[in-house]
Amino acid sequence: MAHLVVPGSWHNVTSGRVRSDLAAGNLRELLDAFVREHPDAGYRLTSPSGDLLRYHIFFVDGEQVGRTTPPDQVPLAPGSTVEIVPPLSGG
Amino acid sequence: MLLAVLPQSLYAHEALTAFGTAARGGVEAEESVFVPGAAFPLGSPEWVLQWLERQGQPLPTPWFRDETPQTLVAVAPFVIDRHPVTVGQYAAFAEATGYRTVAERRGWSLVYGLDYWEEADGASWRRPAGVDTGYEPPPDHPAVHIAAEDAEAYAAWAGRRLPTEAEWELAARGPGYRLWPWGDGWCGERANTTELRLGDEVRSVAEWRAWWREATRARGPIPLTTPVGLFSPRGDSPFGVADMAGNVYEWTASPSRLYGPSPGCDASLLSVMGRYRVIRGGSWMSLRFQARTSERLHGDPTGWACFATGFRCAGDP
Repeated sequence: MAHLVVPGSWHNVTSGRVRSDLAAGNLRELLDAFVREHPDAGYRLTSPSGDLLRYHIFFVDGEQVGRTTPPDQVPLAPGSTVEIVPPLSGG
Repeated sequence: MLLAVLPQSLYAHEALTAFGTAARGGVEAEESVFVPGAAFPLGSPEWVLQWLERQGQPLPTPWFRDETPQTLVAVAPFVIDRHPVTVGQYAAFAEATGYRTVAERRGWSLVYGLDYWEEADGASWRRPAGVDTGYEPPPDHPAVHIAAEDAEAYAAWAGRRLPTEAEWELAARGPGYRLWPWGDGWCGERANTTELRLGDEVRSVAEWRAWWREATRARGPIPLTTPVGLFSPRGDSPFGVADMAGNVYEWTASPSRLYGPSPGCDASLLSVMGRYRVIRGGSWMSLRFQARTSERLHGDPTGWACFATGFRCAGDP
């Protein structure tokens, strides 16, 4: 299982939950699993054509994922923590 | 007609503390304001968080916890632009240098679409709503779609720099605390925030989205900026600095960090500390609670920009 932390501002499309434990071997699988669990959050991750939105930043165990790295090429270890950080954070 | 009730004193007031105008980088710069140095507590006193809890405002209080605890800072005397950098000023810079912003080089920037942020093709300070609407911003509106490096490039050309967040807050409220630049009493006719169009009643995020969806359907995602200084002098800070509440989010030079231990601060805020850059002032998209003098946002400094991000410059006297 990987540990996913989504932005607090997504609480209204995640039933108030910003942390999830999901089975995934890479970042793409994790994001797909998250959207299956929270379908209303899908538009915050992907464009209408299904492409991953380019402006979020992803951190895996504290390391930033390169903007051009395909998410299916970002392996996750059991217990990995993935953070999705929007480009603007705060109140 | 909404604008009919707005202040008529465009650029009318005489600055009490004006530092004067000067030609910088080939442009007759807007007035700068001299701010005496001061030691003051940066951030919000605890009562502000309690006050926010009581307001019924739609955002969770932990999102504002990065404003506490207050921390004593000493700021040397500085000058700061009375207004955010305008489209006309940025155009002069671009013409003189050939500079192209991150958004222009990348070919898209962010606008808020019908439901969420969207990558709008061709959006930049020249075309804030993207290429599809044909909207061109008036020269006296603040420049938007400005990434941190775009702001710094302009400032360097103008012989200036971005203000630190401590300078920004001092310029916005003075050394004594106040919620908004003019005082602790909200007045929706003193700032370009959501209240200017929807009124002062607390609105939910869902209600904001519904309103914006209607506006966007009718005319596209055109940012609702106003001419800089439109709300002067009634909306000015104690130093006569304008547009410190609303209109555009403003980049600062300060990396995001906590002022001190802040139990209860939202986890997604903690994750940007040390990574992002502090943004101040709220924007036309904000509710009044997000346009307070001590309110902080944190922006990705590696090229992020949207149709509500701008900046102003500061300098040493």
